[in-house]
Amino acid sequence: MGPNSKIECDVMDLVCKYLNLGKWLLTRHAIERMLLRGITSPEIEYAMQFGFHEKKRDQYSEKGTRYALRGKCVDGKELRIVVSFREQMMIVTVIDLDASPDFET
Amino acid sequence: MNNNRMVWDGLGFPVMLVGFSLVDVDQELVPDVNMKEIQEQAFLKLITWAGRLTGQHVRFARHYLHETQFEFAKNINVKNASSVSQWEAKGNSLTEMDVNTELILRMHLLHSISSNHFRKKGIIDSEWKRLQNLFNDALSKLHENAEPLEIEKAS
Repeated sequence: MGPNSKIECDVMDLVCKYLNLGKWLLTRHAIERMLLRGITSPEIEYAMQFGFHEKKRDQYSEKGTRYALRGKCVDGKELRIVVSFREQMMIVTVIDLDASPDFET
Repeated sequence: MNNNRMVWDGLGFPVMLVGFSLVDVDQELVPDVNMKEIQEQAFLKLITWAGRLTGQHVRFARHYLHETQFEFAKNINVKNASSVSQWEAKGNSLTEMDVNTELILRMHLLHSISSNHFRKKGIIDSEWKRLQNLFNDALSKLHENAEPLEIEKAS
């Protein structure tokens, strides 16, 4: 395990904790992205549950850190999900990587 | 009692939320829902819902069960996954699937929760029976112009 493994594990631990409690909320922007691509909430949940922390995609700002998660849905579709942690886990945006290859670069 | 009503698309299709308050997160007001509970409620309600299913309803239910289109097709005795794909491609419009197929699909949903969720949660057979009665009642009344699925905040 590398030097960043502990931090990455902690993020995924937090994600799993919030998922198990059902304490996650969707921003309006995330819902817009879902509707655009026909993504459902269980699909997002599945991708987060079995996905990983994509640390190099994290964004830092005054408002706090936004963590990038990446995972495959049950259909094999690959999603990037950006989250932030408050009292609940906020889903900031959802990106369908299969439909938006430009996000991949 | 909070009687707020709002249409919400957070599951991937519109539902009418009843009695949910809003929370301010980073200057944005969002419904204060528990995603685990609301997904479960929506899944259960879809089984006995009086309206015909839309493409997004089917997609939501299938994803909730963690089934691929192939597995789902097999479980509802449909020849191949492309039928499921075609239904789901309808989005928020009706799937136009045969009524009998829709009944089998709903039976599959009912069977799945009876063998997983209900046993896990220890919900007893009387609840299962109640759901079966609801289901039988709803099937006789399916129509094409139902209002959005309504979900009330659990007390």
